[in-house]
Amino acid sequence: MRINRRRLLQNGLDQTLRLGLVGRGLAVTTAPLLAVNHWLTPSAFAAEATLNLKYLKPANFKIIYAILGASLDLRREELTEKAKLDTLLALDNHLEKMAATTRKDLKMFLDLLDFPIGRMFFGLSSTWEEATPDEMEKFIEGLDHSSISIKRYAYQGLLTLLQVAWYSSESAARSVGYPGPPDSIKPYIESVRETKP
Amino acid sequence: MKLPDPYKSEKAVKWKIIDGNDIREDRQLAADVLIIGSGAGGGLAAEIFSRAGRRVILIEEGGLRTSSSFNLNEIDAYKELYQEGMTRVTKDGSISILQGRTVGGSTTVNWTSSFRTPHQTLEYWNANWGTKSLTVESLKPWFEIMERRLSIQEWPSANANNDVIRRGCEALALSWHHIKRNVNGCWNLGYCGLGCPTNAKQSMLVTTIPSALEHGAILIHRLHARRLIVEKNRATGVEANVTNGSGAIVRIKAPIVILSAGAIGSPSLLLRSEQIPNPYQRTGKRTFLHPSVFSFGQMPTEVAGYHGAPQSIYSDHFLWEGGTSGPMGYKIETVPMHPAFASGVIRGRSQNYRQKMKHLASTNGILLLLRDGFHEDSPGGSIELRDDGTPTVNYPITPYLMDGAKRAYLTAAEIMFAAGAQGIHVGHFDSPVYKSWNEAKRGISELEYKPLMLRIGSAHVMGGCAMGSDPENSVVNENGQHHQIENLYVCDGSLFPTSLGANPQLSIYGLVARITHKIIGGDELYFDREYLPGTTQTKDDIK
Repeated sequence: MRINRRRLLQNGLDQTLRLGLVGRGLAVTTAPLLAVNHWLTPSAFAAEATLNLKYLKPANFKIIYAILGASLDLRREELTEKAKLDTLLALDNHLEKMAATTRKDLKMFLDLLDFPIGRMFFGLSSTWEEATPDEMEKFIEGLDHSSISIKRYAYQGLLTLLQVAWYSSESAARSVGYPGPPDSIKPYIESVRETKP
Repeated sequence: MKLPDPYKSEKAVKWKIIDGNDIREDRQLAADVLIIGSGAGGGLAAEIFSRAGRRVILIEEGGLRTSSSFNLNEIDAYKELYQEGMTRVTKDGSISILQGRTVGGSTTVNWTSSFRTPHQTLEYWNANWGTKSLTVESLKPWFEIMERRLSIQEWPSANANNDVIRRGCEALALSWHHIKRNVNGCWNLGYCGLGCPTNAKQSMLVTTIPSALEHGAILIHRLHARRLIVEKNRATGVEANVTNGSGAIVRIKAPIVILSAGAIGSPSLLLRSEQIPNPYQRTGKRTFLHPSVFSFGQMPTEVAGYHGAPQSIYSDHFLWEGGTSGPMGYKIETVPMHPAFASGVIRGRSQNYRQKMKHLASTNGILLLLRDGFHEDSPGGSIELRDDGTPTVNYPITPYLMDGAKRAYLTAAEIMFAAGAQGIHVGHFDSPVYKSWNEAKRGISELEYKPLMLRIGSAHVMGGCAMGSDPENSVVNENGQHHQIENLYVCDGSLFPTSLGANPQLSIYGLVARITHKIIGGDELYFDREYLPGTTQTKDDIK
């Protein structure tokens, strides 16, 4: 019998989402007094609020930053505020244009990861704030090579978007030696800099 | 610094261009010829019909973006000029699909590579789909005309990225050739995929569509064709939606309807149009993608694969090696290496991935385009409609395809090492950087070839409205005419019964020039003569 991937994904995620809602209260009561990854706490997201993102919401930010940091092996000093904001903005732009069903899948994945049961379903028992580098590595390793193709699909899809979003920023592009367009066309670019296609 | 933008010129003042976002109430329009989609097929058809004196309405779901807004920023371009902001993928997420969604369609963002339809492909169609009139000889004059019209000529130089293919092939005694490009006065910038800021690329945006507008055609952009209207077994027009939230519907009637929405858009529009007969369920079947895999060579000196003509050297050495219906053959071309784009095709994560990206400036990118549709284990995919009516491509990944991918990786690795690479990696999630050909040979053979582990991309969607003599296995005849609706024609890449084994734009131009002139009849050729110096001028010359 042929498995309908989308239905399976939606049913599986829907069910997990419902369970996650039930478990949410427990998670709140057992939250650590002092978050290990303090920079992931929502109180640090004041700058993000100024972006007026259309699709990403504050609950997604810490998850995106944690997965971005671990998946791209970023050092803390590389994750500057500007780099983080540029990445969020680029990711939100991607979400705006993608097919509604793809966007729904991705949003559901991010939402699920915000709930303890969802996080555990995908392989992370610690909170995002507490997860150690080793735990993050194990979590990602469990997704990108999962025998369950839905897990691979969810993570690999998000990973590609994050990679493209990260390297679309000027600082990340320059860090790998990209000098921008040739000098001959630079005066033209200056003249249309504020004009988006 | 100012560069001329034809849409901001004095001539453009009298052009009839309507932005669908400005339409807030239902409208009824009429034309002699309705053309849906403004890419390689629709843009060209618009010029030919309008020069033949027909009242043309050309509609396009993307926006009108012109050179004065092409700022060479990757994210801006991907978001505004590509289908689904360049996030379009096949149903299971295995293959990324690059397609233009803007006036000029994919011709506005393609990499300019221009090839005539390979003779092996035409012979295969002839034998299996009965396309008897489509031969190398019969199509030659149409290709010649289009090559002159769009300034298609061999690009004599190669950037360092393309030169890797030349050097590697020469060292291994493999054949290679220069690529022909549709450019006129090219600055050799390397940003064809982000919209050409100098208008050197002879896309439909700056050639045939302005020509059509000069001859009275009406262009309506940001207008989405929802369904075709059928009355008494004839297509009488289209019902289209604006996307400004007003809910306004535009109905356009015409005695001739040309479907040029691309190989996802055209079949899906037919499938949404329930009155269009589909007696043998062939519509939207046999969709081909030229699934492409990638390989990367770390060279000892700077490659700067983001600068210079994106594609100028190719090798077909392995394209037909096992025979037309043998193991999957592949065409070897380069992939441009702009950072955001490269970050999506280079695979891996964490330290492994960062190390690969770190070498971007000295990395050569090779693209291996797999020829699909010529073997029973390569049946292609199909177009399906989601609940909201939007299309998706269901394209199963077969062991036959994966075998081709593995052989293609090995070839690219050998070429790169022969050209002096110090290390190579392939577009597989588990690929390390291999430091020698022997290490690569062993490592590539041992990789796990399962969906989502390989980056597979497609910039060439084909098929879905296959042409052929038998209505039981095709949708239109070899003149593009729908088998059941005689005034409905398909003029885009969905015509192809298989993939091509070559970048498709010139095949589309040649076929569409032929189809549209047949519809018009008579002996004239409907191109601006200034674009055709010294060429044939009447149909008698090309018969």
